Amino acid sequence: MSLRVQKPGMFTTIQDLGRPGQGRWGVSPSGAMDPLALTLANLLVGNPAGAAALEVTALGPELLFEREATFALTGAELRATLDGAPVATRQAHRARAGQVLRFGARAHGARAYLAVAGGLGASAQSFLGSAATDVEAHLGGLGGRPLRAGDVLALAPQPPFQPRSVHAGWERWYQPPDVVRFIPEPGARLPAEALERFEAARFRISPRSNRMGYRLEGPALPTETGGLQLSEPVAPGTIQLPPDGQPIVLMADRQTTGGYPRLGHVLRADVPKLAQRWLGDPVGFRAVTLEEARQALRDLQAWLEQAVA
Amino acid sequence: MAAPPHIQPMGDSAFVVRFGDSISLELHARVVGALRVLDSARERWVVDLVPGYASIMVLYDALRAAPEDVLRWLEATLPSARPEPPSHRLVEVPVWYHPSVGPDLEPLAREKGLAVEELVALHTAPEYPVYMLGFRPGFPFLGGLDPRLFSPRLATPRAAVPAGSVGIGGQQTGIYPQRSPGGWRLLGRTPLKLFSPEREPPFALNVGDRVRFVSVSEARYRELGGELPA
Repeated sequence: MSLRVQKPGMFTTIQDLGRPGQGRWGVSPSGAMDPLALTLANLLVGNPAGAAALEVTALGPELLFEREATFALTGAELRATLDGAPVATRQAHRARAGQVLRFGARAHGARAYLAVAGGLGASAQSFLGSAATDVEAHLGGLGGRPLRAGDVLALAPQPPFQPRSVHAGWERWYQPPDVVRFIPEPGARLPAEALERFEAARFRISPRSNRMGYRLEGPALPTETGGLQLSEPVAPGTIQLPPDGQPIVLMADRQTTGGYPRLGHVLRADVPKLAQRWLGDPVGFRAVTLEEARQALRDLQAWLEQAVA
Repeated sequence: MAAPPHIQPMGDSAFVVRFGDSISLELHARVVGALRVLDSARERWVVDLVPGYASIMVLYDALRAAPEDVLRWLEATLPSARPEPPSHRLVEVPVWYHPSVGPDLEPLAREKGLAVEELVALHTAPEYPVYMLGFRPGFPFLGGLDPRLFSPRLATPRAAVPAGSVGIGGQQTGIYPQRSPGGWRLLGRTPLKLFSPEREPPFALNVGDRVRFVSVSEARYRELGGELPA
């Protein structure tokens, strides 16, 4: 008894919190682009924070519940319905056997997360302890690819339904949506005005963005001639500046090394917000200190610990 | 006595330890030695230790350790590191050097004023240290390329480079473990599987190993399980 994929949507993948810690082998961390939304979805259905769930990108799938099941949706608002009745996000729901979950037009955000009690990892290929799909490296999930029509995801035995919901206050981790904080790279090998102009600029998320990186379209920033350097490991949220002067923010499926000069690194606490920006959305960047970044992460964690009841 | 490494934060969850910024055996030996002591003194909040040519990135769990803790740990641990030469492990990588699997072989030879055989001889001569793995699972960055073979990446990367392709990018040579996009100049292909997720361990090469390319015939390449272009 399973969750049957009747239509796959634009790009729906199995994700968890990824496989960090494998960088020395060239293995990307992958995992949810918005780890906060994934965690909330799991907590709503009584799963561990990092259980495997579906990451639904912009245009959602059509899914048939072949058995009664507890599920929850978080992240982007994609106007989901269950047999035609609207499904509120950020609370647990019970689907009856035979009901169909559909998604409608995108209202805001980029990625929604669908968690089901017991997780959705049973049908996935696990690699280095994670079911996360990495389509670039053909790893995890269903053969390292997005869902296809006809795919069947095994459902675990369902516990009794518990009506849980997310406390008010989640919005603040996504506000203001178009300003993302970052820590500048000390001693960045870039012209001095590159950083100032980066902070002053407004960008749009390029249509060439994907789970590996968000390309930013805006005024070309000054870069060194022949700005390619020795390849070096890159951190989560690293902001690279390639020779065309258009920054790239490295996201979940990022390569583990890069040779471009770096402007800085997006705050871990602001990664969820950036991950919910969609192609064409405006975005700007504000430099903060390492201390402010740490405080933001601690605040987020403290809120998360009592976010669901 | 070599100068102590330069340590600086990279955002709110990583530090980089830099020994220099060039490709050299001396810096590589320092990276491998430092990686060993950091691995053995590993704290629970260390998420990942990622070697580069001349650096190591230390990823940490920022909810369990403050930047000062990480810095203190690095400053206490690194001084006991000793440079380590490349390991004794030498991995021979059979390569079929041929235009049908190495589309840049002939153009590159022409560019360099070499016969194809001379180019192959230059590429198979060194023992290349594996400086780092990156870009894709199990992709080895090999240093020690003969300067006569240095060549820039393609202006426009290929959309799909087949698995096993052996190429040159700048001063480096390497092997594509999986089919992927890529901008390096391709000389040939190996039947060796550098990365198989279902195998234990999944990776054929480790940082600090040495690689020697061995030129093989088409027949030998096929015998070893090499696939022919469609």
